[in-house]
Amino acid sequence: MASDNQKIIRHAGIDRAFHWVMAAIMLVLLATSLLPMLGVRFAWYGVHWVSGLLLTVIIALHVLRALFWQKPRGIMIKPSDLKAGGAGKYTLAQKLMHQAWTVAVLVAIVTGLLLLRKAGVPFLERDPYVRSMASWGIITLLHDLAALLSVFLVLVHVYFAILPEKRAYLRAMTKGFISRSDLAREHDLNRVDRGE
Amino acid sequence: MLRDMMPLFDLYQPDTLDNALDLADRLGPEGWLVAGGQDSWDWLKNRTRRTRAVVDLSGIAELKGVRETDGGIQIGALTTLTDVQDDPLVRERYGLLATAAGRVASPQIRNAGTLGGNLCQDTRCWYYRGGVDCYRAGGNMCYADTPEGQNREHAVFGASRCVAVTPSDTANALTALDASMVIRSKGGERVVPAARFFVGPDVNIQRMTVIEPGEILTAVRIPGTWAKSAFYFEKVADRAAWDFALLSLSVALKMEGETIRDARLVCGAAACVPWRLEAAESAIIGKTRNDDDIERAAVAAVEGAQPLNFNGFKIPLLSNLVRRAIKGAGGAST
Amino acid sequence: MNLLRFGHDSYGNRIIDGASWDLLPVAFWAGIAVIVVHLVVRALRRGKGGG
Repeated sequence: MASDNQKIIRHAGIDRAFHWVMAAIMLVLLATSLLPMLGVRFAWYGVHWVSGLLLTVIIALHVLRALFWQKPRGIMIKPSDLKAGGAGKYTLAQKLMHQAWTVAVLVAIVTGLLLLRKAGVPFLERDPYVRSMASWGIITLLHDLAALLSVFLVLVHVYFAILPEKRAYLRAMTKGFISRSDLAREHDLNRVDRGE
Repeated sequence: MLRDMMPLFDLYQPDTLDNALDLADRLGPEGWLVAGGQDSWDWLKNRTRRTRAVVDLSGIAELKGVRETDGGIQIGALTTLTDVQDDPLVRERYGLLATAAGRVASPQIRNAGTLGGNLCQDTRCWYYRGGVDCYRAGGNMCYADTPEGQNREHAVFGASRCVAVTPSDTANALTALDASMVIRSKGGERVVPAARFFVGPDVNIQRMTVIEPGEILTAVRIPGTWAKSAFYFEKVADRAAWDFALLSLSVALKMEGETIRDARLVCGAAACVPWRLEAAESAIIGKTRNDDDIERAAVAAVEGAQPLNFNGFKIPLLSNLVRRAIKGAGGAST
Repeated sequence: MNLLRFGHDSYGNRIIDGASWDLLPVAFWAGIAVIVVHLVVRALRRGKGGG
């Protein structure tokens, strides 16, 4: 029988790398878009769209890895997650956080890629007339809302990451492993052992 | 629709700088500062912009005139362009500025227009001036940089979502002369080098200069660094007078015999800010004015230029100006 | 407080330009509110458990 101190690999190296790179790029995207609004003037636009393209690539790689190398159902919300202590690898709260980030990042990426045609980048002919101004306004609105949601999520996500009782998850995202005793607090170890 | 009628606003006419600073501070963005009015009245009479209040600075005597400073000169921001052009100190030591000031617009406009106003004037992109909601106007779009946009007058350098250019003829001359701008507010004074006074769209897409609401440009200081150098100024425009530049070039060379010891080449109307041609400068510093090095400078000057649909002519034009300027500096400027 | 930014298209029609900048502090303080509420609930739960 597995001991309580046994360490389980929770996140492989590549997944941790994805996480931290995505996090860094998200912070750069938020800083480049929001600091100028707060009066901090610098040449932000080039850094912003380049970071946006990098995030697109990283997210695409993450999705491919999740679909073909991992069990994507593991991140989807199930009825058993609603039971206290009934979680598999991810708790309900963690799944909700991932869902929220998925919405924010995918909306930001899709609208951001569309906006490149209007705002102008070196490799694409700038032609805002492919859409009406009203359409651009809606696309911009969705991009803005995704950014605002991201501001909210960064605060909440970082808060929960640094809470003492959640420190094991932060350790897992840096070093890769978590102990069974840490997991047992909120997870059903049987489900974890079954890879759910 | 009726145009050319002045809309309603509160008019303040302070007679001292302190009063003007009080007003600028109190009114903030709602107080439109007017010097000679050669830019402001267009905006207001066309009804493209509105303002609650206008602060007319033209009565403030302490903002006018040219005086010697330690090693250089200081020009009050409200000195008219005609007075700058005709001032003996400016003509004797900084002929580049005198020539540039003399090529602004027309004599009538130079008689009323001021040096400060010429430096702070807004861009002349006709989409922006026409009142559309472009990026510079706080909107979400640039109409000039589109496949059909009429962008003959627009930027080939430094574009970042906005492709408008600086319309000021004196701006590139003062940048070449390493001038500094004295900005006052109720909180104090700051002195900003010309190279940092003008702002590109990458940093602030809605402003042309670093001046914030509540601040007033009071003077321009020119050090003695480039006094009596070999100067050249040329402005290319559709009309010989009363027109904004398609391109302008200010050159200052420090000569040691036949050798160029130091150089400043700054072009106007090629970017949103006076655009310093550092690669061209490097190509000629330490060299004589021989054809090979001049040619290298002419090619280097246009490195990185990105033409739009209708302004590609600016690239060979700039190269030609650089050739003419290096050869002609120290002689009669066009 | 505005929710949206408005502008005009080239025909003068009023259009949405995007979200209002007023919503930035809303997003920020909403995050802070969640943190504060959680800290309070967490403290109350620990108080009950320790009592």
